Amino acid sequence: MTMTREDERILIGQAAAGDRAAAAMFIKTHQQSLYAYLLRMSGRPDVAEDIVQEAFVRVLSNLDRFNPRYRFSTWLFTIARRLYINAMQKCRPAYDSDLVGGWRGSGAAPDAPVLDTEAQETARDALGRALMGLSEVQREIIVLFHQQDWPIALIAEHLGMPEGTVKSHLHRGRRRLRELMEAAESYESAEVRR
Amino acid sequence: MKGDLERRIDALFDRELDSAARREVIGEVRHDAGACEEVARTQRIVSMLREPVESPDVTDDVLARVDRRRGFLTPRLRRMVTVGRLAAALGLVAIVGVTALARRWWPEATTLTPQPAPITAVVESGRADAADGLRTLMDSVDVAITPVLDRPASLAALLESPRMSDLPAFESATRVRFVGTPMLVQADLVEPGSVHTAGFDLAPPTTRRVVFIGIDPSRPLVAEMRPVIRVDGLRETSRERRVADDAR
Repeated sequence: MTMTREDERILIGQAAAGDRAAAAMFIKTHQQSLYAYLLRMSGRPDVAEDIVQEAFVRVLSNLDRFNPRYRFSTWLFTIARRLYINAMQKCRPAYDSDLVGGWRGSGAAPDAPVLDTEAQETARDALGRALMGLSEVQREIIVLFHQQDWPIALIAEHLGMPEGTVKSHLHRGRRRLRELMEAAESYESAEVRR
Repeated sequence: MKGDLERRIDALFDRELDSAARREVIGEVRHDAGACEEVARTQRIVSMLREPVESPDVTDDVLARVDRRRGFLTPRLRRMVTVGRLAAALGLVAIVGVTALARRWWPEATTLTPQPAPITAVVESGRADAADGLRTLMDSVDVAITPVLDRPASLAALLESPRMSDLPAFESATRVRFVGTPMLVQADLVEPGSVHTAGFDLAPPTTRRVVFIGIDPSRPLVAEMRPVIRVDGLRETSRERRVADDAR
């Protein structure tokens, strides 16, 4: 679900004025992308859900502080990111392929390769593991750029680093991700042959 | 050139190329098996990353938590809450500030536990108390310079009394130094041509009596009362002198 900035501004005004329905609309609009981002970052659905809830609670409790010069989603993701960092400092996540096996895409991208269901699940697991094999910053940039479609400039602002650095991390992260996926596929093939 | 192609493949996935440049890169990649595999693999990863993720609906939970935490307030109520909090904070700051100033300028008024007083304060206090006591005493002493002159018998009786006879050298001294009672009022009786001194003990029962010694009852006399304070057991100090001056 997407909305224009003007729609977003109106919705924020209504939610800030105490409109419950506007607040609910707001959550429904952003929860999926926020959850996907946090799931990719943490590798754990329970952590992702907790942080999504907490981030929305904080945002809705402080809507009067929102600066309309910025995109609301950027503000929401910034708060969620801080919560994620805090959560990770308290408890380092372990990638759990059983949990990540629960990721179910509701639809495939038009250019996605055609894979059978089992192969798709295996590939998703492998991607999840590969993502967790990246450094934190590489993973975040990969997810924000390729999953959330954020432009490089916005990621640079969000992470507080120069655009060139963001690009370097992006390129290295993609390369590393390819290597990890390749290694995972080779391992799977060897297991199947055995 | 492999390095250049790699850079352009990165640019392709960075969404930096327009459609013409994209077609050009893809055309080049078709002739390079390694590059072709790299692009295909990357494209597959990107596609998987873009797959939508099914998320739990947290709407009700979030709204319930917001309700519990603060609730949805109208802007007017929200402003009132903010102003109220601000006023409370300012009040607290003001109280702390006033207390700090009071402690600085009037420490004795803001100190709950008794503080040790400096010795000078004790002396000052004692002096003031003594002066007050003396004034009260002088007010209460009814100095009467009369009755004994007309009643020699009474005078004789008084002189006979053990208490008065205890007065040392009362007959000849111009000033009687009385030891053994905390206070002595000394009176110099001025008669033309001679000065006589009488003393009396302030302690009851002779407090209000003045006894004149060695005066011819047939001749008129002028009396002048001059009270003097002496504190038994203490050296005469400036304090005593001052108290005596105050009494004068």
